[in-house]
Amino acid sequence: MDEDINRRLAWSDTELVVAMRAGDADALATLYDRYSSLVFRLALKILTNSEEAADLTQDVFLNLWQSLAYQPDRGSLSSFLTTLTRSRAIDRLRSRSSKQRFLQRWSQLMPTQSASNPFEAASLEQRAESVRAALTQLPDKQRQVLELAYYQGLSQSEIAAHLEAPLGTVKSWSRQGLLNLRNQLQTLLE
Amino acid sequence: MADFIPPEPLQDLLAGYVLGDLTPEETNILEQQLQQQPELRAELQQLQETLAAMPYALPAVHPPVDVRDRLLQTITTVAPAATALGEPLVTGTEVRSMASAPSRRRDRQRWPMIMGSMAALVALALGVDNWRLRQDLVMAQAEVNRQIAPLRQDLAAAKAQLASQKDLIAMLQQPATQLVTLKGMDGMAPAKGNVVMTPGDRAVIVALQNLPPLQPGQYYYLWANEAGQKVACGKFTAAETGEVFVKLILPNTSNSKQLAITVENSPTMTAPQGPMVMVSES
Repeated sequence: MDEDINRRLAWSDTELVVAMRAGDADALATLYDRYSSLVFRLALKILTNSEEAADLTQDVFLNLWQSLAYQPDRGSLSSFLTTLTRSRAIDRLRSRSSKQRFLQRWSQLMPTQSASNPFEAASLEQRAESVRAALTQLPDKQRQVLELAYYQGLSQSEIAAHLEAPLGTVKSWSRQGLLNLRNQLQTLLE
Repeated sequence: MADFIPPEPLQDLLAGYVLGDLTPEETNILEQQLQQQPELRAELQQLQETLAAMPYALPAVHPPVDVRDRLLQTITTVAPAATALGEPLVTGTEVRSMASAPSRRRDRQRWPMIMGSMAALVALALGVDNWRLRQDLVMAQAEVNRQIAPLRQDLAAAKAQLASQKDLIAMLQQPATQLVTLKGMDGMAPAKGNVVMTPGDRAVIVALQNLPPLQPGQYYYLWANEAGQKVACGKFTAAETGEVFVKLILPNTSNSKQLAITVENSPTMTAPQGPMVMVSES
């Protein structure tokens, strides 16, 4: 079993997806090892609850196995996973009672290590460093507005109210922020 | 990458599209531009990828190890979404045209295509402010709902079954619960089963096998012999498989272990008239 996983470490995301859709469970396991941290960190950020984030992580990879929703010609697997995770996390967030939300904000979070291959971890973390570096290059307001929109699911009007800034200004910050971020990440995305 | 850089206002619109904050006028302008310059789609995709890459910057944490184990365990019982080896994965244009052309086919391939186009639509924008996306989404959802309806019926039936099973387990866990065994009369010899009852409790569970399904308008009735008088305990029908698994509520608590089942032609019987098909032993 371990040999089979090792062979697949060198495969591209698309090769693994094709294999997975032919019923290859090891291919899914390899994709899990490659991207579970990305899915989990995003789920945890939005849900602020370790158990729910773990639950959602499993949900997302099960969806990858069961559904043809991901199509390689429409974008990277990485962006599909984060988009799906974000969407489901925000859905779950919205269906919570406000009392629960209050309690969860103060719950202790204990991140744990999983036994993923260090090679894959390095490659995810290399991307992470680039994205972190790119974000620090953004003007504060642009970064702030992007993060509020992405992680909190706030609309532009809600953000405008939250920051006490005009809607037009908020739109300008977020659009410029996205464009600047894209420019910073140009080499990474190619 | 692209050889040309679109002028600033256009870049602004592309960014707004990905963020989901375009006004209807802005949407119109952008759609016209996208039609005239299809190469803009590559730019659009790049911006989508940028936004979707934001979570990389979050602190590196890993899910607990058991998530992986449970996932790999679960997929042994769940079929993967199938594309045959060597078949090209569906292209974007194919997915779009299938989404807008209603089809009667309800095979397995249809469902994932709709989910694919929905996911793509959701992936294009953050908010629901974009009216054009809302229209597409409503159409896609209507199609999904059409496919869900029969599945919902199955689910409701399965839930009812599960509720009865849970009741049965609860009853069997009580020490005073009794089982009355029933056997088929001549002509219904293969029929067999039990009625589970708890003294003092008006609820009984009827669990039978090999009872033939009835014509519409016909019912099986359970009767209890109370001091010579036959009291109706309830009515039910049999499934195609010949199984009966129902909970009945008796009008009064009964201690009688003399039970019988008849076939009747009316939903409001007060005394047995039809043929007796099953009876309790001794």
